[in-house]
Amino acid sequence: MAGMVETTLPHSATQAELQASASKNRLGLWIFLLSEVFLFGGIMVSRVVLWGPTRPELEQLPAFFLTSVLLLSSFFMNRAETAVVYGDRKIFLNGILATMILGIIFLFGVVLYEWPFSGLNPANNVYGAVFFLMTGMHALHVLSGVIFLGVIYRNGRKGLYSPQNHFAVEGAAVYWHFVDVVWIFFYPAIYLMGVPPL
Amino acid sequence: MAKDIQGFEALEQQKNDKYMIGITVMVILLVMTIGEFMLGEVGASSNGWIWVLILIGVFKAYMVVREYMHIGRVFSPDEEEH
Repeated sequence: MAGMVETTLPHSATQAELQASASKNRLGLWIFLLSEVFLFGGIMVSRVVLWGPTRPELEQLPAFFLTSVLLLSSFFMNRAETAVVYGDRKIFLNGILATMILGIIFLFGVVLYEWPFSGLNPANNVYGAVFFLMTGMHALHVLSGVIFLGVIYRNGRKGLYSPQNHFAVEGAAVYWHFVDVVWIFFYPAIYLMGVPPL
Repeated sequence: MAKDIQGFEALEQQKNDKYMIGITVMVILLVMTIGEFMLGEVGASSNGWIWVLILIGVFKAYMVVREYMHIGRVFSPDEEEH
């Protein structure tokens, strides 16, 4: 197939062995994500309990822009994963690169714009504490996702993934989409639900 | 030879279909996010509309988990792309 990614496996694993290994890895990955659901679920509960029907006064447009950037990054990640499955190396590498760039834009947007210009401080009141907890924990996961994608990009350039052997790419993609799903709930919880206190 | 060409074309079609699903999901997610943003802008999220925001969030998460994260693969390992 044209543009097929070359494989350099340490040993000549059969297709059945690779599939069995991927199934086990996949289950482990999803169990790990379940533990993450409890972590972010707990944070969400703290928002509901501590803020109640209120929320801090925050700028809407930058948050909407950053949310769109993260959603777009998920699209490129999906495109990259599809590409590696079908041996389309160029689209795969470009997709990973686009995902990383959009992830970095999101990260910079949160840390360099949202945090300093929110008018909140983590030590001042409950709004600042929960705001920084939610955005900070999420940003930490985006950062680890970007690092994970950096490793995938480097290995992809070396030709370590093939249509038969690409679980690492699937793992990175699932993790990245999970971080996106967390923001799907955090965005309205922080910026849209409730009214600013008088 | 003709069979090989047919197989290649079928694979290309399958790949293009997958790319198209990715684009469709993206458009749906963006449209729903614009909807959320507009609800927030008009201040509707302070009353009964909060449930609309929750429903939109749940639907968006469902789309991502189903179409991008391929949760079906966990329960059915044979469900590979090709």
